[in-house]
Amino acid sequence: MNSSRENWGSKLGVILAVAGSAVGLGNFLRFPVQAATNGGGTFIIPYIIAFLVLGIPLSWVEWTFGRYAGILRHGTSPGAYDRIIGKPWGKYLGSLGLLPPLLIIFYYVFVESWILAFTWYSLTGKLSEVVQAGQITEFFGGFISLKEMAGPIPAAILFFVITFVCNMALISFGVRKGIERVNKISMPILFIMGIILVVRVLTLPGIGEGLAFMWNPDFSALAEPTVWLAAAGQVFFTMSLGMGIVFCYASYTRRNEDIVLSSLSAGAANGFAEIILGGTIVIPLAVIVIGANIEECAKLGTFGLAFQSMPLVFGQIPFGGIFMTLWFAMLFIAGLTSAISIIQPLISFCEDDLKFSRRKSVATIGTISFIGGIVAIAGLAAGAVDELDFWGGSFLLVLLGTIEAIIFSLILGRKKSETNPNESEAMALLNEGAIIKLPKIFRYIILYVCPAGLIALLVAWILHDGLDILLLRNIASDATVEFLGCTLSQKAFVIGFRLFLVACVGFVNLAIWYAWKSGRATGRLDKIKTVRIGRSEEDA
Amino acid sequence: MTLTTSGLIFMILSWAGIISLNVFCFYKIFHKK
Repeated sequence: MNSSRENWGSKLGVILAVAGSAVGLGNFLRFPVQAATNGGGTFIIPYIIAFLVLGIPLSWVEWTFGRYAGILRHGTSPGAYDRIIGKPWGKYLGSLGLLPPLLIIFYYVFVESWILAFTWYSLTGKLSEVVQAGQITEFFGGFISLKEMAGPIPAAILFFVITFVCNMALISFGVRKGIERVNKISMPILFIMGIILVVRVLTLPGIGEGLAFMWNPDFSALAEPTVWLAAAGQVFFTMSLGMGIVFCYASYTRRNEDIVLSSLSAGAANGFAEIILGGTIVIPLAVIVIGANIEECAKLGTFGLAFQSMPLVFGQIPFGGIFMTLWFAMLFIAGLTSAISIIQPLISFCEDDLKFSRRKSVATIGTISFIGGIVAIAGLAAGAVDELDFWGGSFLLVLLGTIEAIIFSLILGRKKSETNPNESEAMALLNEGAIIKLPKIFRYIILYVCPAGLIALLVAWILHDGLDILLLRNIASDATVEFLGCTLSQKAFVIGFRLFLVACVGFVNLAIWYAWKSGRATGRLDKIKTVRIGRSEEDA
Repeated sequence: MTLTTSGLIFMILSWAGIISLNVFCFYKIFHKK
């Protein structure tokens, strides 16, 4: 039974781990398309404003919650909310912090495995042959629909199993020897690969034309509310906020160690990957090499751009095979570091609240995510991944982020600190051990502007994008899908799949009920309850 | 379409801003007293 928690080995380790979690496909594929279709260079203005009033403040909120939870030897929101809210329903509200990692991991490992497969195919030259034969679209379609074989089994399944085992093996080493070590090695490699690709792109003839699509400003776009919504959404999703990841990672920081600068540094590293690497590679390359226009790029979406357009692009430049391998290897590192960060909150819940050993936690989460992964693969063509991405990767993030900002502002922000009577509990925890003190203006932004901004973002996002999906208005009434060899109405499939998601919500809440009922989470078993926020763990 | 002067300015300022933020943050981390 665990009575002590791990800590990060170094400040750089936790910064790279948080940055590794944030840097993903969205930096390299979503950002450039969002920028190019929302005012070009002008997009950076609402992007920076959103970064300052939503991104960084919410990141500080999550780091503070993480520190609070870590002192109580929890790593996820049920434990923290139970104590902060002080009501029995607090822990069930905290279940919202476990749902995004659970739902995202069901499909993320599958997508990560596509990247590993395409890295392998690039390395062996197979992808170059496919591109030269003009069959990349068919090849990608065949791969994800399990028609491409590797011996007797579908290649997609083989790579899924390899990726799954790889993720679980790394996470089984723990926070310091697993997550921290992986990020310390792989993140510098990712940045070096990205810089090599940027240099290659910037030295291509006619690059000005490609950069024009990304950076020429259209000032009229600033009058469009959708541009501001897109910028706020991009900042929110790119920084891994509202997913319980930053919260969980921050819970492993030592008491009296800076979190203000660490959070800002992770955000800055993510911004580098997004603005400099993401803003330079994909769109300029697609425009100048294959003559794609922005509408085409946007229509292809994240996966189309990554797995169809980019191999085509690299197939047409000198030494394209090498750069294609670099591209997919860079994406795989981004995917791997993000995947282990998505798994860790679930492992933390098992270890800290259910008091499982790490091995038992990895086995439990491994089994659940493998079963969920198989469901996602089976339902890919029917829209299962779209549903998981909508609920786990979009809706719940904005909802949880908004709830976090409100709880921080209304409860933790009004509670007097036990260690510093002149400060609120929230600000005392945030500033404890800070290398740079939080500028005063950000206190107001965190406590008032950020929650108001997030409520506005949630409402605007539901009205603009979410409502049609929530009410199934985006599905034609006569649309049909194939699932497990049966043809059925798409609406029926989506309703059935949402019932499966409701069952997942029930399962998570049942686990929380058991953790508290049995006394495992509250410390009745090992006197964790004696730890107070005003005193260090060591004092207690 | 060619890269305009204002496009170039937006790109350079964005790059300079994010690089400066990274330099500031990592300088503070590695030069902690």
